[in-house]
Amino acid sequence: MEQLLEFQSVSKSYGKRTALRDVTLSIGPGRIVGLLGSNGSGKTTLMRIASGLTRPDSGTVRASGHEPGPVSKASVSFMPDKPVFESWMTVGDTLDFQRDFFADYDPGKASRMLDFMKLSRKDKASSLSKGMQERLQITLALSRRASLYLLDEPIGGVDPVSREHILNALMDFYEEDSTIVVSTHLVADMERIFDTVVMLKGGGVVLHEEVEQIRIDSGKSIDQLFKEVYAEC
Amino acid sequence: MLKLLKYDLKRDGYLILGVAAALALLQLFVEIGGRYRGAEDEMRIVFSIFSYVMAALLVVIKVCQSFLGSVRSAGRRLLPLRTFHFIGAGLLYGVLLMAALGVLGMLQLAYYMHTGMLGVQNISASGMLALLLSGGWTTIFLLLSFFLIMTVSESLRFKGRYLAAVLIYFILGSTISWVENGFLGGQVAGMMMFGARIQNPYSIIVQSSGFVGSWPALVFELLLAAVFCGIIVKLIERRIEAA
Amino acid sequence: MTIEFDNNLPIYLQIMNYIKLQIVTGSLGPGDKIPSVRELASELKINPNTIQRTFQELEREGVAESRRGLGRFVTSEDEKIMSIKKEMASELLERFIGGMRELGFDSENIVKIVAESVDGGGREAGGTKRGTTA
Repeated sequence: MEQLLEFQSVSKSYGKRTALRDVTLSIGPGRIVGLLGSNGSGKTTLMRIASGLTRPDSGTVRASGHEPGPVSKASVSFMPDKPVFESWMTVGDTLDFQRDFFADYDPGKASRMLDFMKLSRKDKASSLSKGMQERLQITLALSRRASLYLLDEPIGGVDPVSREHILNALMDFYEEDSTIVVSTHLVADMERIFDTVVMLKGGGVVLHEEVEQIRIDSGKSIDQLFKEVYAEC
Repeated sequence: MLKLLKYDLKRDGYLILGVAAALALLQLFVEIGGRYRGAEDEMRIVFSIFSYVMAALLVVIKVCQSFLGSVRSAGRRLLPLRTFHFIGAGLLYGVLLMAALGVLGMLQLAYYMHTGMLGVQNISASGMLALLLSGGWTTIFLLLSFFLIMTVSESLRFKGRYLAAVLIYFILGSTISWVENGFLGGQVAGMMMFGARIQNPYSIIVQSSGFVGSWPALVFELLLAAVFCGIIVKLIERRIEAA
Repeated sequence: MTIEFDNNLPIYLQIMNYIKLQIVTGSLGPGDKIPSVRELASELKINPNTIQRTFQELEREGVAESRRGLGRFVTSEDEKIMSIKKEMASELLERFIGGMRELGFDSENIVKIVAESVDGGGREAGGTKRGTTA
């Protein structure tokens, strides 16, 4: 089975700070993976490398079957923590932008999501509240029929109502053969939607396990385990 | 590439129209107001040319800003496009805006000719074409050089990198000029690089015939442009990360 | 449909119990169609693979059967449903009896107490019979 995300001994440093340290992991299709870790554990760097925004210092990466580049980008949908849309755009512009550049854009999905998120094409992106901007971010990311979705902290710093909408959208608009990787530190809210979790600590992978297996083996919730693993952080 | 340009235009549409309108109004003001105040023909023409040069400068600044913004934007760097498209879109944008400026300028020139303020002799069709192509290539090469300098300074990490960039600009410019004048002889296709523009309004003919005689310089510049593109692409991919 | 899930225990087992409960109490009748993986995942906000695992287990136990192209259905065998009911009851009993023994009651007393409760308190009987309330 073709893996959708493969990291082989990937390392990345920013000056003196090591963001990723010899990371090796492999994720197949049809999964919703929680990428967990405290701030600075390397989650964002990992996603940036997978999406092609950042180059690793060493190691090999394959996203959606290709090295990060124009080909992989066509089937990888990344939602970074900062907006991908430009502030002068209207919501309609941001969607048209996706449509113009991505062959896997699904206009039906997009308009259903717009309604669901209570966004209007005429809204100016710059006038949206933070919660609405996050809703737009997720709409843009999920409006494509990508193979690999990478969502960086989709519900962090967002009001509870928007949070609900975003989580609902994740479940409603889920595609069977694709994989969604969600990075978060809000484990309790999200642990039921994951089937696998990868825990990063200090730039390395400390755990990569199926969620139900963790529950069976340890009798703990993922949130509980998370608190234990990151206790000193 | 064209799609990138589409969004650049969408973003700057109002700005462009505003500047174009302002420029046009300025010309009217100079013509009518100047005449009223008894300013001489030559003075008005020089002032007009000056305003066009300013507008061209604005275009260059805007295009460079747009290019750098694109390269730094996460939304754009995530697109399934080869890196070269960013350069191409920037250059097209520049050429498009300069062409628009050129059209305005041509209209004004026609006006001057019509009113007999300028006595321009024998501008042949091929001469005009040469002039246009020369202008186009000059724009491209100039912008490309600026893109190179910007990418290089973005790629460097030490303090004073912008100063280094300015230094590189002058070294680059001088070297190119020296190579072209020394080895390849004749006029330089990209002579605009040093602002060595002939201010005399009666010298338009000289420019158009000068182009034909500098093929080696053009080839040299084409090669340089290819090298510049290669360097820019490599630097963007390896050293410049989107915010 | 609001179920209280315990994140410390495997979710798929909890969903299984919930579905079994629905079958046993008649909310899901014999031969009824069970919601699809997608529907259930969306409604409960649970990972589809987890739901899938639930369904696989249900099928393995013969509680549900899947028909190609049509979906998943509750078994129409009454004996099967009866055996599920008995199974769930015996689980409850085991836990109850175990708990009572821990408290120190012997078999005779346990039976007596149960008889009294069942006869005497209608309200309590309702509570114990249903087990976990939805």
